[in-house]
Amino acid sequence: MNKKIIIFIISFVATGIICHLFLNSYIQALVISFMINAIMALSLNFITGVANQFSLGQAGFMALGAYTSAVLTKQFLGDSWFLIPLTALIGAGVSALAGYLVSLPSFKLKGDYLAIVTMGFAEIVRVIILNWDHVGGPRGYNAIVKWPQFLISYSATGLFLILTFMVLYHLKISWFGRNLWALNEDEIAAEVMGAAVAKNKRTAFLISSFFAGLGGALYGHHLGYISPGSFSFLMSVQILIYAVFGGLGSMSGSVLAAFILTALPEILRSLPTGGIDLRMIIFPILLIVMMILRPQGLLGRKELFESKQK
Amino acid sequence: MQEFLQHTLNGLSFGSVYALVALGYTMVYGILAMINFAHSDIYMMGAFGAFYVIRFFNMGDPSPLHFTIGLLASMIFAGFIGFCVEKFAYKPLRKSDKMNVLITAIGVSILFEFGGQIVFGADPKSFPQLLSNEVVFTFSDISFQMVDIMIYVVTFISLIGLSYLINKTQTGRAMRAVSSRPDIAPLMGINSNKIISTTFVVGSVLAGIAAVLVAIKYPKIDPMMGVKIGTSSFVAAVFGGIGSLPGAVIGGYILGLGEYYLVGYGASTYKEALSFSLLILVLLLKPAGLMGTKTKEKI
Amino acid sequence: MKKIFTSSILTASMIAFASTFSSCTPKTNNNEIVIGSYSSNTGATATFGVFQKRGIEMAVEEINAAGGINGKKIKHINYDNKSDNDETLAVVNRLISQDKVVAIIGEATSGRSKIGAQIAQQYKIPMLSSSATNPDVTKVGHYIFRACFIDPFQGKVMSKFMVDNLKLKKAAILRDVKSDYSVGLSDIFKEELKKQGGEVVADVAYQEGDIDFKSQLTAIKAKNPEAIFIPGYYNEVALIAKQAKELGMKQPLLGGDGWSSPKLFEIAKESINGHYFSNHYTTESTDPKTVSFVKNFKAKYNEDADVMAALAYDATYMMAEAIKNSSSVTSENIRDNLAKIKDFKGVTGNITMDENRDAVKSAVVVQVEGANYKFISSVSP
Repeated sequence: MNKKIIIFIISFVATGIICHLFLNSYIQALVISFMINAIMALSLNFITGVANQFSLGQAGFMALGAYTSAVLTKQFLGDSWFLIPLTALIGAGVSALAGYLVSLPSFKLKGDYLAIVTMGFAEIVRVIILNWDHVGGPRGYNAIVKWPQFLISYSATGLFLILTFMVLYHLKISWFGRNLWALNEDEIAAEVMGAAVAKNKRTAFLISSFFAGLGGALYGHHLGYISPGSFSFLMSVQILIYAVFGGLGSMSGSVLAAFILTALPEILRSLPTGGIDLRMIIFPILLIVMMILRPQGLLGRKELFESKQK
Repeated sequence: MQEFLQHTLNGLSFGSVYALVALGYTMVYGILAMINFAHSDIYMMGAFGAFYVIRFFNMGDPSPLHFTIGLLASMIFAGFIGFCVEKFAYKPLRKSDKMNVLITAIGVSILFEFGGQIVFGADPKSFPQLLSNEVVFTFSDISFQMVDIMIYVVTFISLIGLSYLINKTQTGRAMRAVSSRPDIAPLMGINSNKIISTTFVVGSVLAGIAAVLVAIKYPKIDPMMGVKIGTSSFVAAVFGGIGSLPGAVIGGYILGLGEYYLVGYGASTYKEALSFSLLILVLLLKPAGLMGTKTKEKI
Repeated sequence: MKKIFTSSILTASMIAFASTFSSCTPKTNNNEIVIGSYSSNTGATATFGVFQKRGIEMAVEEINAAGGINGKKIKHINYDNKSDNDETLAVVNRLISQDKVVAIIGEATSGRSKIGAQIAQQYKIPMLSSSATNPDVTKVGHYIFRACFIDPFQGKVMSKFMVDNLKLKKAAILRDVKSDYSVGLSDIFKEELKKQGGEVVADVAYQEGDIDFKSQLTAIKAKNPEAIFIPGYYNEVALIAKQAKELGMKQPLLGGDGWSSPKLFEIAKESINGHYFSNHYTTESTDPKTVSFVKNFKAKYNEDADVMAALAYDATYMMAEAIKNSSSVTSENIRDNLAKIKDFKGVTGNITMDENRDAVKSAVVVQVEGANYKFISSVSP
């Protein structure tokens, strides 16, 4: 076990240093974007893939995390970048609370209905922020403190990504995760087995929204500017595409998908398409084709590093 | 009082549009238990279909003939697109997880929206005035144009027609059969595929009708025009009881009125939040909606 | 063993992948001047982006056809940010570090301009926004400029016009709550009107994308304003004007440069005639530059130019002027020369950069008469 961890740490640090020394700011920004997308995809994957609660509201949780962390650093903590990890966690906490509250009355809802409620929740969050002058309303919230340089940004965001992955992966393979998966298969049977359906669903929501909020906070500090427009339904859909593409239920699948789908549009940009970005044509087509031909996504429920079925 | 009357009439007028579109959502959900996210975009396609046909035949001036041609063009185009979407995107997933179908529907919706921006151009187009602008009559200082009358008339006819189709025809009976027991229906000699396609087409045609009426009254069309209407209509359908036709209509009118009163009496910026709050409230308190029936889950 | 293998493969592939990108850095051609632009060619604000891009492209074509700048041709690289903030970050970074542009033109909206500005300022690349009107944009730093009015100026123009020219005091505001341009103008208008002894009797909102405004208009009608200020974009204003007429409202409608598009009359038809808005130019302008811009744009794109295109066109020419005046084509020199722009004669008026790097130019108040904008008065800052 230790050897693997050491290898991983070395590769992580080495990649960071190589990116810092040899790659330009464009690629560096993409690397951070990839990590944030991965965190978001993981958070959605946990609630929708592992717990089978279809959530279309990640953008709302993201928004809560982003605005909380941004306002804290700007208005109360004097733009100190080294406090970002703290405010990001606070932002994540706010999102978690929201997620819990959303799940309270919703535990009876299934599938489509739950998806719509979560979508509705995210939209309501967006509308509230849009009308809230203090955080900028439609003008958005500007001049959010960013990480001072790439290595710091890479390390901090990377560590958060690793944290997210480790926590969610271990939850997935734990008793808790198995309970959630049981709900997945047959809710009535699971309830009969004493799996405390409602409580588990609520906890799953809380955890998923926590990480969505974390991703949102990091997103804000990466871009330096957030507005209600960033957190639209389209954002939730984008995150959904990452999670589905990687495979709902596979944590490493989400990370892999985030990597491929963050890089893909940039590669496509080099192609001559008359100045029109085809990402929003290709992504949906990819999604539809995947659903028809390979609905389990890239990895299904398996992890990249699992050689046998447990 | 005058103000209230105006708001009420506005609400009813828009409510009719929501009702027509909501019917499409509810019919598809009733028969396939899926939310056709792309319905609002089929609506948009209808409008564009009519736009290009009218332009091609140079029929942009108001006249009953032009109106009919525009309406038919929209109905045919929307119906056709609905048919294709069902056949190529949803049919392969008939046996799949509900989540997968929903995801596919979202994909189709986005494809139409962004594809529309590229193919039709993202800028708004001025829709030709197919019905005369003349004020037909005035009631208490509120003027009614031909198009306003048509909205009520066409909605009314569509509802009667649909009701007749569902309740009094063979096809309608087949639709109801597939809706309640999709596993048994084929055994009774019903061609499920054909019925499902028909349902989609009917729903899409209704959306096409709504689209032309809206495009004439609010003569601006663009690839994103379906988004807001779609969201509100969908809420209306769920609110009224998804799967219930009268529910969709009642839901449409209630939501229309609700939105107009809200905007008229102050909180206009929260209009979107209203639809969703209403939706969430309904789903939590009475998930089957106003007119829906509770289905017992059998073990 | 498999894990070590996998992680090293992943790391190696990441590096290999990334290095293919870096090696894609184009060789700097000394005979070219590379300028970048970013615009929302698709997505929610696609109309703005497409026209912005066209304005720039047309200008670049003209400049290159006339021999370029000091003999060198412009290479223009434009990226679509899909109306998305994250994308904006990526493309502006790409323009700067991958394509190595010396200057950037963009964006059309204030929000995304702020994002791009932060990066441009960080890497000391001059950025000229064609139409971002929020004062915050240029506050990001001394490398950031704009070619258009700022909200505080334009808001004042219409309020002055209402009181001084139309001699009216009571106004209602109908604002687009989703647009910071509209919100900015509305707030300034409200403030200024109060200062002039006027009063805002109703302040109602709609959202970009709405098509029915009867409720808002009915609410406004009940308060009996003498004029209605609608500082939104033509997409909605056209329908608003039509519905106001249908409701029998006779008050003059006032607006800002967001009205400026041929689509306004196309969609609104007669209902928009007789109303006023502040703009950069009038169609009556006999200025040969304006006339040929309008004509050439229509010929090239088969559509009429709107204010986004005109501003982007001017921004490109302003950039070209700054580059021309630079002894050597470096970002620093270009920045300094942009700051020095004085009396630049553009399609959208006579432009001078002030010390905040905002464009100082007169506004004209015009009255809509069909497809024409009739000159009523001109307001200097």
